Amino acid sequence: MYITFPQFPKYKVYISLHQNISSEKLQTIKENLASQNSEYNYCFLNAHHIISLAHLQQAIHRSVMNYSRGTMSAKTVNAEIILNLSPVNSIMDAFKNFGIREDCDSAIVVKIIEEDSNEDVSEKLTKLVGPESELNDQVLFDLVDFKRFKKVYKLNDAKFTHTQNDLSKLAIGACILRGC
Amino acid sequence: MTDHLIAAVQTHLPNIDVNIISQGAEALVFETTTHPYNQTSEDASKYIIKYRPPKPYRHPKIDASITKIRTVGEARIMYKLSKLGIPAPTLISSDFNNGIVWMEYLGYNLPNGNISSFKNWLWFLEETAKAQQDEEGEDLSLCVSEEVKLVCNKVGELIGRIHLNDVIHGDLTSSNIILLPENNEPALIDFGLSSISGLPEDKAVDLYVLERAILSTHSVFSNTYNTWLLQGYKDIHHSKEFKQGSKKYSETIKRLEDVRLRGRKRSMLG
Repeated sequence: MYITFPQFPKYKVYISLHQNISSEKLQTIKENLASQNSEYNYCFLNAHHIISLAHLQQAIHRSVMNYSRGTMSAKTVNAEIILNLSPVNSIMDAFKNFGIREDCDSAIVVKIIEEDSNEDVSEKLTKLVGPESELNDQVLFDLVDFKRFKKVYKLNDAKFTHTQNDLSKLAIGACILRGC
Repeated sequence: MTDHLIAAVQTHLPNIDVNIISQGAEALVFETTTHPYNQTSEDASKYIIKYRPPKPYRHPKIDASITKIRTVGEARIMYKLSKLGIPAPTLISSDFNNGIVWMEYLGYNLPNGNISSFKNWLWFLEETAKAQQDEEGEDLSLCVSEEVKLVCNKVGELIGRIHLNDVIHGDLTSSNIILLPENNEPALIDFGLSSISGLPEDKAVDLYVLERAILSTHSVFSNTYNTWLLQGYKDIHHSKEFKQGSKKYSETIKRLEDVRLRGRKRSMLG
């Protein structure tokens, strides 16, 4: 799906979910990301720690903001998204928790596109990662590893953590206050 | 006067229609119907944007750092409360360097069109009672009904709850308490002056500020309201949920009596 932010009409964002990815494929993606292959210029995330679309969009929104203003803390906008999902400032931890992992066969792929580009992201991604699955809040919620999610966001002492909405709001708050 | 400030916020938030609803010494509060990143087409929800404009009389570097520290401080308290499950607006988005925080919109509109703050609600009841009074003679019982008692108790409990978690609101007034559409549950807003402290002194000052605010905005029944508020404050401290609540309660109330004698400021110097 494509999303845009009212504040930044110059960019549009492509988000897709891919499920049941084989471990060889995950390995290949990881290697290509490490060697900075330009064919793999996407943000690959594992689905275990993303609770809702709002949570993901918050991180993308902030990354686009920093990208358009030139105030990014990470090297690339893809890494910036991963960093903005994390509640801690260490980029290594952020990659470990949110980057693509071999123990999670569902990946969320994000690509930030300049508005006038008419690149067919969807087709390229199908070739790279496999077919797209439907992406909505319920699907994301079902993919979450709650024990680890709560640990990553330090929510074990939080009071209301029953609904997706509660968890999503708390995770967004933790992301916003990263490093403050 | 505020036109250039609104222009300033528009440069940081292009394509977002903002509508000013309040202006303080430090920040402007806007409402908007646009969500920064999660807009659903038929969504009529509103959001609050709090903006701290740069102060021209401060050195730009100091100004930027003060703005950032205060905006972050406020956001941190809001996060802490939402983690504790205490009703307060939740964070939506932030731009700390420009002093902007987006948060949830709380409250509903009363039948007279005003926002459902505790103050407006009590005033609305008073108006309604006075309008009826013309026909039936002197009767303001609407202002001290069981419902008002219940809401006052709940407000007292809410303040007790934040104090038991060592959060000091810093600016407790009846307009900084918003009643939610569900059963008029109270929620707190405006944490611009909030801090974290466990001292009975700070808690007592917080209560004293509220007491004075009630006295000046709802003077007819201020004593009744204050008694009910303190009753709620007492109840929550004695509940089983919190350890050592009754000890903390007696310390704070003892301090409150001192504060009543001397006023909010600790010393008359400086």
